[in-house]
Amino acid sequence: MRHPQTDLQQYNRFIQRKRAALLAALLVTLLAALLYMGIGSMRLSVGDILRVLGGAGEAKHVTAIKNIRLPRVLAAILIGAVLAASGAVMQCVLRNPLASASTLGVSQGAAFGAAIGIIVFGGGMITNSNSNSTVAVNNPYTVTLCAFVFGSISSLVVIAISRLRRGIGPGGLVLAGTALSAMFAGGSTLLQYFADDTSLGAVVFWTFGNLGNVGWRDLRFLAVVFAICFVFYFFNRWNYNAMEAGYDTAKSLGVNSEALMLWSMGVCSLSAAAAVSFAGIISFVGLIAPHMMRFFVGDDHRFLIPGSAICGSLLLILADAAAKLIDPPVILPIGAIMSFIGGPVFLILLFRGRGGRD
Amino acid sequence: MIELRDIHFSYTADAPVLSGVSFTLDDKQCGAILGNNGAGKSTLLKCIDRILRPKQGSVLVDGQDVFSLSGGELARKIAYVAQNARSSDLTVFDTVLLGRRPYIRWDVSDRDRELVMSLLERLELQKLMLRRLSQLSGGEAQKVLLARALAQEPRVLLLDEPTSNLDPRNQHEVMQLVRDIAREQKISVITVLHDLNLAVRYCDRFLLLKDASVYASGGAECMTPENIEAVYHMHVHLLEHRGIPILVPFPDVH
Repeated sequence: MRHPQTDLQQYNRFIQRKRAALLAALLVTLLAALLYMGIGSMRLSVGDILRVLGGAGEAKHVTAIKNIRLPRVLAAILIGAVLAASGAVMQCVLRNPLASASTLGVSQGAAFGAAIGIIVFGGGMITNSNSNSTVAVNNPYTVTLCAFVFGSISSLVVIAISRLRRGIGPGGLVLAGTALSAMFAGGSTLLQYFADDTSLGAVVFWTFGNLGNVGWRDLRFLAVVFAICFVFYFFNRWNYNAMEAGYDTAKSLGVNSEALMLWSMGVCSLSAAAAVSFAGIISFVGLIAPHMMRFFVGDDHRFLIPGSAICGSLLLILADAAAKLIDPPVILPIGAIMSFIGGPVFLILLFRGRGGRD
Repeated sequence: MIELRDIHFSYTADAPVLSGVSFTLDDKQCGAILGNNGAGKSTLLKCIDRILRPKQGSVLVDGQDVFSLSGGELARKIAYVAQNARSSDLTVFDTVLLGRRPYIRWDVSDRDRELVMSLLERLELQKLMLRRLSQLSGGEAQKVLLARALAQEPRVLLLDEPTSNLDPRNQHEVMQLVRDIAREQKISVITVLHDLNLAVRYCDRFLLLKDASVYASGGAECMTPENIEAVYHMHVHLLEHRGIPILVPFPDVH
């Protein structure tokens, strides 16, 4: 008999290393968030920021942090986390490494729904001040509900295709997502066609993806929605590991594969809808973050889901920092920055062969 | 002990895949499901574990009807290893730990981890425990999946062609292991096999499927050349070498 205790300790150390990797990623993300809050027309040191967060600091610093920079960085953290965790879950339940809200057309569907919510149902107001025009969501429930309905349509089509045409493969499913995206983008364009000039500019700007419109009230709403999503994902972490071994094996382990897939895609649609309602379409973070995290923690969803969430937050903080730093004082749309980085990574994933995994 | 009673299954109304399959297996026994491609062997296995829902019939484990159980309860009675199961990127230890899924309420316990460790030792896999499943050879991976199934502490173990894609030595190793496990753990093992010689050598009971129904079933006495010829459309001679039964096929003889 060998030494079972030593072997088990070896496994426990292996698990500890994954925990350490998550902790390190979390610390890096918090540091990035602190540094990010220093960026802007008024440069702030880490010391200034910490003093404000501690309840002290100069009045103008407090105003900048509390009204603008803290909500913005929290929006990046929340939206990045939920899009990335949802991406990891979608990749698992659809058994498709190319899956994410934006590659399957869920975000675009949600954007169309949100546009309907804002323009048709008056869930939002398009304001035009002398400096710039913005879309303010004054009824997050209506807008998110509309976004959820249309995002779910994309999800249902994707589920139906993946179940009915089992041979379609990961690439084929993404093509279906592209078709859905095109359809919903067309729908959004038609809506904009009937909008007046000032609101047209505002809606186009909003669809680029932008963190600047998220206020404190929106953040509370987002936090609640996202908490629901994370509890659901975390509760199912073992079921996702079982799904990785295939639908039949998952069933034999007592997991109701079909129900898990439907519920998971529903929750993913909800999270994408909430994210899109307040920040527009931010592509690729849900695709890239899980793949980056797999380098460090592997396919184990106990670690992959929280890891992807942290990684998604970090990606959006960095992307928004780039959006601010490229051509100050202009803040470029974060959606465009993410697409610019994400497109090439997507191509690499497509051609590296992981796309053929099933 | 497991009893299949009159199982019917079909994907479409007019083409039955299984009609009226019954079979009984005691503890410590290893049963082989045999038949040509498309005879419904894998379908039967999936019906037993409710992965597919039979149109009619019941499955009793130790006298209890298992179709009334919840998914989690069923998974503590019956374990299933799919054919050519997809390789995941989980480590060997975590793959076997997945077998504890039906018992996990909130998180894995020390007992779960210790059980996994002892199974890895029993199957001599402990050196591989932190390797990824996708990096293993076919024989090693098959043993890991067996270990995962055993981690469910099942009463019945279902295996869908456990020896496909294995080299000859590994085929025998896996079948010996399966037979030994059935005896040690006092469980019933039902396995789909294509290799008749592995079946007659390692299994105690046989279920010959032909045209969606049972052509013959029972102990070694039902593995006659006549029955095999009828099921496989192939002439065979049954020989014995040092007490080991051997089937020699003559596919050209009619």
